[in-house]
Amino acid sequence: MQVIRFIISNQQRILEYTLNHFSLVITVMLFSLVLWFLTGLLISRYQRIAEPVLSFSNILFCIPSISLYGLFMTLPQLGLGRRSAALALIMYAMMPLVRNVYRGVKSVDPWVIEAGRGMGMSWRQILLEIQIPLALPVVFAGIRVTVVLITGMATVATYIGERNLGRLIQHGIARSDYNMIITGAVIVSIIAVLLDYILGLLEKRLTPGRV
Amino acid sequence: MIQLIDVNKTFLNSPVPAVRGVSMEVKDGEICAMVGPSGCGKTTILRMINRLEEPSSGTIMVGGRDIQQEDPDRLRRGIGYVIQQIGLLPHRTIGENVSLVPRLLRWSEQKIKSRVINLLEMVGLDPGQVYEKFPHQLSGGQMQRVGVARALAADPPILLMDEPFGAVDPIVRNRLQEEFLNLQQQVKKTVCFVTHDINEAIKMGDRIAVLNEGRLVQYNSPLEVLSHPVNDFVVNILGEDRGVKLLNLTRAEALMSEAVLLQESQMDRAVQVLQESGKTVGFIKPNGNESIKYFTLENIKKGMPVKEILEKGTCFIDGFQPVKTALETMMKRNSDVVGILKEDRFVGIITWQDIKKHISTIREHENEC
Repeated sequence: MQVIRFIISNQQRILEYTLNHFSLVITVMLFSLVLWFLTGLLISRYQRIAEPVLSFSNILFCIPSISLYGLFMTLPQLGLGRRSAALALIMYAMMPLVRNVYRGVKSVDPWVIEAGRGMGMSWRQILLEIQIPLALPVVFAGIRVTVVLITGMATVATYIGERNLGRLIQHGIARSDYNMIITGAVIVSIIAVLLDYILGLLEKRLTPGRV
Repeated sequence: MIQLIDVNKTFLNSPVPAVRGVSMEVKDGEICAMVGPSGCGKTTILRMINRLEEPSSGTIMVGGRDIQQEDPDRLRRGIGYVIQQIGLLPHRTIGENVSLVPRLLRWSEQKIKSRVINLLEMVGLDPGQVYEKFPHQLSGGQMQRVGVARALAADPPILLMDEPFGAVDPIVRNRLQEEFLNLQQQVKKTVCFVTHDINEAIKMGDRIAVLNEGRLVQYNSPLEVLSHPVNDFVVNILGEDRGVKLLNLTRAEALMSEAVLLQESQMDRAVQVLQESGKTVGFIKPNGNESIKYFTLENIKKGMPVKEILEKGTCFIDGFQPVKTALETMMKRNSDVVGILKEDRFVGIITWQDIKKHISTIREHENEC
């Protein structure tokens, strides 16, 4: 009850934080998808750079989020706020996205590709009509993990000036205000679950007819 | 027509060439069965014909044109390709799979659809049942039929088949082989058929190319390969039962002793009549429904009276059937002779002795080499 009362009396602020949070996640995801999808395709085609790229993404992923935020913040071109936060989150998205795109493309039965080549499909047709469609389930698994991950990590960006749901949690902790903490946590979770659910529906639409 | 002129191939990171100096020609409408142990280069040769591999040196001509001058994708659209693993697109229906090449060639939807239905019927599938299905809903044999249909879709003059029936069980394989041979009668494609199974090569090939360590060891008709293997390697690959296999490839009429027709009244002069005609078998024209009676010069020479040596011919086979069938008939009927028919007329006999003699000529040749 108290939580609800808290939400009602702080409507304006919560709405602002939620929208900020949401838009940060969406921005990061859009950039990440384009960037890391292409990177994944690239390394699946040029095997020699696959290993170094994947290792690099692993190392990035191992850096604690708060230190990466901190590092980017100190760069004059980035500074406090959204730019540093978005860039750090895009870096985190690299590992699960690149790896799943790579794994998805690589998991396509090589004989199907062989048959496609033998039939006279160009490499572009093989990519668009065979490799990408068949990689989609694995790619989607990666996208869904990434969305949940980014939604959670975005909360920490409050420490470099992002006005999002993380701020409710941060301030809640500072003031020992349970209602505030719970509100922030629940809304973050709802966003994560919701995005994951929507992606699940999308996946079903895009991959018909298979077991 | 497919021509290979002094083709060599050495793979990167490999000290040994995979294909060495292979020159051969596959005539239009013929099935060339390429056979040899694994690593003999047969698949590499096949993949060079549609440029999935590039030769290190040498020339390959398809339909009189050097394939190096052609765009690889365009070239491949004009060459059917069937592989053991089939490689159907798992996310596309059977109809979509079969229509792959026609779509690449931008045929009209209408034309594609009727062609696909036609093809599925040709390979023995019910279009109504399988058209909308996905590959995983089909059995192995059905999938390979789809593979063949897909390769034939744009009616290419040439078909490359890499162990196409290798992954199905022996019963289905046998049926697919026979169906393909029947289909080939209609479509008359120029086929390169890779197999490691000599029996399959003998069955499918109009000509057999025996390969070893990248070299073409022998390239001949199955009959020629079986009766005149060029060296020990070919003898080995043909196996212990080469003679029996050969019996399967020789028509019974080739070993037959021709018969001469005698009238009942000529019986007393039977020997004379036979000798005059230069034939070794005589038979008596049967009255009505009686079975044919015949005798052989050999028996007469043993001094038996003609009346006693008259044998009743009860088992007959058609002259175009293989000697193996004659042998089998003999075993079944416990007889030493089988009558040979041609267009339903008795023309001669084939005896156990004839077959033995035939086998011994093979053996003699074997000792020579």
